Amino acid sequence: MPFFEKLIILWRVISIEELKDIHTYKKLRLHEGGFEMKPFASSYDDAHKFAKLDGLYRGKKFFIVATIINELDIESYQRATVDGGIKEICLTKDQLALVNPVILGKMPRSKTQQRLDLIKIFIYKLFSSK
Amino acid sequence: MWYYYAEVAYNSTIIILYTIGAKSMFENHPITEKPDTESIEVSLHFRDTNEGGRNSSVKSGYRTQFHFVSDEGLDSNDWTIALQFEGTDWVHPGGSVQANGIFLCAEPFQRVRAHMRFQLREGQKIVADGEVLSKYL
Repeated sequence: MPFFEKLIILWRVISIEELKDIHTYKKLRLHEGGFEMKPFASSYDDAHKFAKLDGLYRGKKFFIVATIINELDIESYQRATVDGGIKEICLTKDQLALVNPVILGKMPRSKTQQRLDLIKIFIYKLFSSK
Repeated sequence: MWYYYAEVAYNSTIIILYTIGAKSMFENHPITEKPDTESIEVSLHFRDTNEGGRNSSVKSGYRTQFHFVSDEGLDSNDWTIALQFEGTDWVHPGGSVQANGIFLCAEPFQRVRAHMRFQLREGQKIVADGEVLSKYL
């Protein structure tokens, strides 16, 4: 995928267990008996809303990962709106195999951290697209 | 000497004020509170793979999208629900089970009614049909 194509960043809030899984396998994986797709938020704010609902401010620890997809492929992804307006894009097992997660750090993120995250994502994309 | 103590006191005050300020900023962040005791009892029938359902079995603790049409007839959003199956850990595609469900948000719990029909979805894919049996507070 050429770097200059229009890209969409997908955000996903993950638990410590899922973070360990990504460190081990270097990929996002589906788990047996669970959702047969991996849902991602289409914006940082939506990912943050989901983490908040899931207990971010009641002491649960979450991390955030991002990945990039091409806007041209958007029709091939399942989409849903959940929990009062959080927009999700769901990736199947085959689609997950084609994307690489970038681990950004612990939630919540300050505005400065979010700006640095964007730089990190695009630097990662720049090097991985060569 | 007094100058040293004054400087220490001044720095300590700054650190304490900063800590209190940071803490209150954190605590003032809006939180959607939901009692953990609110749950619903549901009956589920998972669609067979041939009917467009899942390809694999489902494990108790499954988190998915709960989709229902409200009393007002408006097509609602989907809501995240965690399901604990009763009497079994696994359900195969085509199988039926009763389960206890807890929503992530408070809103759907207020809107669901006993005997209400709903669907479980993964993205746009309908994986199960169900009926609400009862609500627990």
